[in-house]
Amino acid sequence: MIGFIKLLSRNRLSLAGLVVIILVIFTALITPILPISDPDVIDTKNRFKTPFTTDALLGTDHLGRDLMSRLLWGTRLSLAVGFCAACIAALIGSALGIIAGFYASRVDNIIMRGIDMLMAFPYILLALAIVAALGPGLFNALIAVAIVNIPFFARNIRGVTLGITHKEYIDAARLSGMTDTRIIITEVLPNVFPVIVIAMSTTVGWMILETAGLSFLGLGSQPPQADLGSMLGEARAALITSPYTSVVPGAMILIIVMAINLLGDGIRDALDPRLKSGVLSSPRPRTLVANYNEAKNLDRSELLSVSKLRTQFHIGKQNYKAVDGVSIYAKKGACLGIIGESGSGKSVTALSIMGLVSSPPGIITGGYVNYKGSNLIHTNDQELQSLRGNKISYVFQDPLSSLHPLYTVQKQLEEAIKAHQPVSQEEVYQRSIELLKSVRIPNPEQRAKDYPHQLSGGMRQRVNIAMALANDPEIIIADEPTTALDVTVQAQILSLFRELTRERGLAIIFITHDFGVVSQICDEVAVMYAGKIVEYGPSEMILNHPAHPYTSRLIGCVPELGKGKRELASIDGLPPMVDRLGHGCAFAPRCEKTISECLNNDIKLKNINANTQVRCLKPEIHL
Amino acid sequence: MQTILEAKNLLKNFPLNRGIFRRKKAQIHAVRSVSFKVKKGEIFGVVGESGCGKSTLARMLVGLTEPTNGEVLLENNKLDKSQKARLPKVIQYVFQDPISSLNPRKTIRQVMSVPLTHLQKLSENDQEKQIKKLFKAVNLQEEFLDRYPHEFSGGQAQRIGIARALAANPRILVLDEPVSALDVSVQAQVLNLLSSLKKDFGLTYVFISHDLAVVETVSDRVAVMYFGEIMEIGPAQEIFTRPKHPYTKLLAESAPKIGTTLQLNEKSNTELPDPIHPPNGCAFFPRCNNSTAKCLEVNPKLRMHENNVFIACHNPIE
Repeated sequence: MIGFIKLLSRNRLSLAGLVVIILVIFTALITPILPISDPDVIDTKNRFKTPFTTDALLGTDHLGRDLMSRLLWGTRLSLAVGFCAACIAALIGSALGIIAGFYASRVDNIIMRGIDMLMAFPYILLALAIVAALGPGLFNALIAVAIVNIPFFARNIRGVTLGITHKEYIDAARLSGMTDTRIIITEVLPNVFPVIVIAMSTTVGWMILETAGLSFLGLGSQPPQADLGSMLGEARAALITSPYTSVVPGAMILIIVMAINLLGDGIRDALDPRLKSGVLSSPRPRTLVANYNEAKNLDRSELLSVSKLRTQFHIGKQNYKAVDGVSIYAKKGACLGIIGESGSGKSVTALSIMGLVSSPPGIITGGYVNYKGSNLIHTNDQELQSLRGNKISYVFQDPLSSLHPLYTVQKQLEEAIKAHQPVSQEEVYQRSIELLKSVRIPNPEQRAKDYPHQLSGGMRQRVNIAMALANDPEIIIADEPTTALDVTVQAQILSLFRELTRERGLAIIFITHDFGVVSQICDEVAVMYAGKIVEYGPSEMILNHPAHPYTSRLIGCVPELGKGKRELASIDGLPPMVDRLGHGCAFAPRCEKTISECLNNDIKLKNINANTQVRCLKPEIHL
Repeated sequence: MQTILEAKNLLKNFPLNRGIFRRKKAQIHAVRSVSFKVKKGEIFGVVGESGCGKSTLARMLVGLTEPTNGEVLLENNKLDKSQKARLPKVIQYVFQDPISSLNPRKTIRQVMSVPLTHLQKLSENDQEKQIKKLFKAVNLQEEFLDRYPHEFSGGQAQRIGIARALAANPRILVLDEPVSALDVSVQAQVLNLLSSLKKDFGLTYVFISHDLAVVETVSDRVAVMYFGEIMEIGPAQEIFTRPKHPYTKLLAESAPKIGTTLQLNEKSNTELPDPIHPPNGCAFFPRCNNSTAKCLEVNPKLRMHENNVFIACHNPIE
């Protein structure tokens, strides 16, 4: 609850709304014990007294009734009716929505078509018709307003329920022996509830307005009973001569509805799970660089060298050191693999190179990314922009979500080319067809007209690679490009990557978690654990004679085809969280060779032979 | 050995475009007549690429999806209406995504107690004991019980998923890609846990995965699925060491292995068959290197080949 208020208070306006509405509700609640005169006592001698002149603070109306008293009692009534209507609409509407969403097909059809019919009538007309049928009176107005608002709840809740019904935990509950009713109550409802609250908070204001509207027309509260709408209605005749009789109830309606709507906005933001974790702002175009410690450029005159890169995520009080001093080198015509388990920092390393880690919460705090003599961490935005997708391009894991669903393949390819090259329309078309050919897409002219969803997973990834190739890059950074693909398709994509290094002389940085893939296409490999490189060298060497205990045991965990049914080696424990790393080797708690020195000091990456570096005090000995 | 679970001509079509005025409804043929028997105490592996219908098959086995045709037999008995309600007591399901199979708004204790209340009808005291016993069996600490699903890593959540399935005290577990969302080191932990649980609880597994190597390490018998049909079925060792079906061979050769070089085993421009209009002949025909004219005309039936291996192919690999 305190957390909720905290989230709410981020939005100052909505906090103000909360304070106002609490004040209004409090006054409404204590109205019966306040020392004010009876709101319904007629005193025609004192009619139309202006405010502050007599003992009636806000003056009197056309029958000489105390406006202050009528306002307080009227507010009390209007609030009560508004909230009741909202509750009734929410209850019935949500129930219909949940049932329609949960059972889907025919039930859904019947309920939602009924709702559609309700919605087909103009709002106020429907309310009028209902009141006309039931007869005037506050209670009937309440029913009318509630009915009019049922469709809003039913539609919203149905949509949410539909999504939840397909979640695996609903299947799991079914298999745990729950009946449908129970699933709805214990599994669906708790997950739909925040949406109901949000919908209610944004509609209460409306419902108060609508009730006031009906009362204004004389269909709601009946004389002499006061509510805000009927007060307005009665004041209408004296609008010109005694305007304050209209202003008083009007201002109150304004205050209530405004406060509720502001509060409703705040509640919506606070309850939205997407906003809970992150900050409300949208990510920057490039990763923030702060507390920056420029590392020495350890340029080995490679095409791209990354030295001592540090990238962190600051979330709340936690500081996740996702990448902690990583140095890698991409060579022309070679493929560098970065391998590690989830959370090891391999993807963040790849994204940091071009400042693609989303900020907030990502921050680059150190390092040097050397490309042709300039530090990419420190270049200006235009220069970085001109390199992105041009000389250095990316291929991502999910081939579908990295393509725009509403544009054809051709359109997207042309866009990629035109972003960096001023070429004619005719030439751009030719180029895009050539690109599709170069990634071996059959019938490129036909395929170019397809939308991403019309292609298979393997074809989509080929299109992504074609886009990465659009501007003759020197470096392609591929983040798990084959993880989402079937093995037969994976083999094809891998061979395409290999061709790019061998024939075009591209440098490829290939992020993966699969040692088999490393073995097949990587010349060199860096093994990452808890944000650091633990072993770096020629992939053949590392795969056959791993020197770091982590590498060696991780390779031991990989099930290999052709060995038959057996027990697998495993590593006990879990990789550490990178927000609370202590001193020493991060793998020490899971390692079998740990000695006290492993825990005390940070361990340096050392050469064990000409090409291989290992971060371990007791490496596995090989030659 | 006794047959505990049998799929008999299981077939599932999903309708498309449920138009009001359209008479002829298009259908996706997800599973096209699949039959097999699972023996008591064995681990039956099902392997295939995405879209081959293996998950739909799994859901039909546990009763989450109603088959369009065919039936599931438990210990040679057909399931009538009343028995279907008892199905979760006999056969349980472990989901691919461990986190999303747990309700985000329930503590683990609440999740665990559901099958114990509704299927086992245990008293609260007995439930507590049983939950502790199950948590010990899957190597989880008891203090996890009062936490919420988002606080767990994938491996831990999958152990919870397994413990929940075991809480129903089933005899069969259908595991749908139980380790594909996990890291290699954790994957090995979970696979080893599964094999020890099988012994301790006397279970039978149907183990579904796209990863041949994983299926091989756990399975006694294996069925290879392609495009909604079984292409090859038989003892795991036979299937993996001497694949007879060209598709099995392609799969086995495509899996990247440490210390092998990359080789392409199929023409690069092959197209997958359309699940709305399945071909008359063999579905693998366009990708097959062994195909003949007959393959285009006649869909091969699953038949006994040798050494208890059944294959659906006109031109098996010798």
